[in-house]
Amino acid sequence: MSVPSRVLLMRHPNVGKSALFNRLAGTSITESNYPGTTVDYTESELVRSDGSVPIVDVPGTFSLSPSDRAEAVAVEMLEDSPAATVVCVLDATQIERGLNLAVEILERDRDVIVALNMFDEARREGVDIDVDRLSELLGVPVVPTIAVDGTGIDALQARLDDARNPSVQRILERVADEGPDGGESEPSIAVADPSPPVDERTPADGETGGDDRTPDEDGENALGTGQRWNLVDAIVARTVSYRETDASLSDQIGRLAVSPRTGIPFAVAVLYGVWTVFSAVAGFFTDGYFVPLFDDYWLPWLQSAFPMEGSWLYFLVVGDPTATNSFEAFGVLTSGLFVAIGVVLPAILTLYAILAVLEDSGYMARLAVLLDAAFRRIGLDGFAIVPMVLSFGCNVPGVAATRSLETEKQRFLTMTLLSVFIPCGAQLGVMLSLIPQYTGYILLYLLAGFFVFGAVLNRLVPGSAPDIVIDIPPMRQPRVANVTTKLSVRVRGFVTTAIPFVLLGVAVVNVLYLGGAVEWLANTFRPVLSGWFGVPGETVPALIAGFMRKDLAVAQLSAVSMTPFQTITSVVMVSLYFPCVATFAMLIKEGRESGGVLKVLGGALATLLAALFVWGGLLRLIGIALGVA
Amino acid sequence: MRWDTLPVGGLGAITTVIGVIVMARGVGLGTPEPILGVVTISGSILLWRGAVLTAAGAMYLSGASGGLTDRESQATVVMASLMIWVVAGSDLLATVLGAIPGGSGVWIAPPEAIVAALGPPYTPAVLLAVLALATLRYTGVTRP
Repeated sequence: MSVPSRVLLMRHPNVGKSALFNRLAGTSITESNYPGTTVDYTESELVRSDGSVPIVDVPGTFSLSPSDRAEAVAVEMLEDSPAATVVCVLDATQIERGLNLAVEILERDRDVIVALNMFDEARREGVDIDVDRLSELLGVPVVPTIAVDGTGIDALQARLDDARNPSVQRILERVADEGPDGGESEPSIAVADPSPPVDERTPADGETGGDDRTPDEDGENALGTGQRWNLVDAIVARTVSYRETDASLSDQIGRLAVSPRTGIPFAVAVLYGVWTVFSAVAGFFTDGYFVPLFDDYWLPWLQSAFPMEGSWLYFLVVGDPTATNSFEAFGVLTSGLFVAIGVVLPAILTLYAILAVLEDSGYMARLAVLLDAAFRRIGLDGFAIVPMVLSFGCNVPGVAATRSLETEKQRFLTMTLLSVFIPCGAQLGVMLSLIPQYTGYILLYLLAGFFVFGAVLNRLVPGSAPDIVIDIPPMRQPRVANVTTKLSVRVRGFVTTAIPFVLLGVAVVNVLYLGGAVEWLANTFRPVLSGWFGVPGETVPALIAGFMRKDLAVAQLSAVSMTPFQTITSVVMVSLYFPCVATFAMLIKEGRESGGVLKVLGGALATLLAALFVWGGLLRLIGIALGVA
Repeated sequence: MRWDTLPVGGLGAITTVIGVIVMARGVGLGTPEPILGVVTISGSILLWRGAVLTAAGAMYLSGASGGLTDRESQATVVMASLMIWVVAGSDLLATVLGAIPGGSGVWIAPPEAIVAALGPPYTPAVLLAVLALATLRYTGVTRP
């Protein structure tokens, strides 16, 4: 029996490990970025009677032969902690795949304890596991758990000290000694099988290939892929029995959710719900409370209390001393704080809550599967829907969420397309109230631009878009504890990392104003706007305002006398022409970790210029063809 | 044919017709407002809402035509109800949250004003959501 110095939770994606981690880790969870990567992981302290030990939620991996960044980080974390106790979390409904990973970890001489999670789901699906026999064969403790309701968590904690490191040779001997139930024949567990198992994935180009080590190459405790799968099959044959069952209603709904005929209408309904709930909740906080709080109390107090009115410092911090609302003041502690706290924070709080509910219900993975084919055409994968959904609320968390995408190319494409083509919720809200009859058409035109420019960028931008494996969890009722933990970790991470960038962005805009750069830009672009797009020069101030808040820019446009088609064109331009300051700040922040700020910003600016002139110009051509421009 | 095929089919037909009317309103065609003093087809993103209702109606019809004897057709019907509840629930939430801030100088509106905001007229989805509760019976079907 050994007391662990560090605990690593390892598993495949979507086996409910995060829920298990939340149960074990309590409230002191922090999310970190693995050095040199955009892979996030969470860690905390596991409180025990004899003190506390660090516990790390390692990124999900299908094997210890990494085929993507997250898996490489998982393997590196395992290798960096030779004395750690590994809690290998298995999805009991798909025990074969989890056992394969468990055996691989045992081959690396680590103390292991197995948590058989989703044990209730397995029973419901007719998978009966003889836990004691499995523990005997593996030579490590095996604890059935149901993380979502806490079943088995205390037992798992209590048995951490019993984690063992049996040699794989001993496991092979025990399995061979016992023989399978019912005297079935089975492949030899001593001879390597050169053919890969059915669900072994093909690694992407340039990435590490599958594990084809042999015992001779890696020492006597290591198995080849075929040998390992034969061993897993043999263990399963001795410990697991399967009953015939019908699919439950939630299983059926889960299947219908990925079938295009029913899944697409359902996705349209879910996205309607996401957007409406987002608008209602974010609007409730921003317009209902933060606007009066900032405009009626904070701004007047700061304008009178801050010294040195008329100085550059006053302009930078407070902004315009005669401003009557926080948006128009343009100071770091007025407009900056208002945008960061009053606009972005309610938006991300709402969206992260919705996203956590969708993830915990098992729907998000299904939406990713459903949309994978469409996103593949532009070099992305189905999981690009997450930043896209977030961006329809607020581009800032949308850009932040691109770090979950696999390659630098995918992150660059998504960041660029989101910041250029996806209007945020506030902007959409104002569009709907001012020009409801045109909003749908504008949105369709922007979405078409998203995919057209995505297809072009996919051809122009070098890099890979590897195939991904989406492991679909069962549909289930979201648990409040899971949702609140995910929400608190994400919001905490966002507040500490993104909000300073938003404030900095406002400061930069102020400096540009002070230096006359903004006025120069306005005068330079005025003839271009009128000549190329056919909109009045009076739209320029609105476009500049759009750098601070695009929703208010659209509102400003309503005061300009224009034809309906000019209104549509100018609203499209507000969407296309430049990301708002908060998004711009996030592009800089994320760009540092996704190929470099210059590459990301340069690429995004080049794209938006092309989009503005090509897509904006095309709109005018359509208008001329229809006789309305 | 199971006895519940007809009411589910009827619900599908009604939902489809209402969805088409909402979409028609969304593209600018006129409809009486409010209808019978209880139903209102107003507000934003009508085209989107109408499309969801129309699709839900089609899924009810598809489930009913499947006979409702197998789990798949029952799941299709429950899924259609979920779509209606999503639209109705988010509409109601927007109404309640819009009524809580009291406006200039008033942080929280008086309770009677909030309750009044929940009164009629209702969107079609809210009324259909009540009818769709009948399909909850299929969620009680458990495996042997």
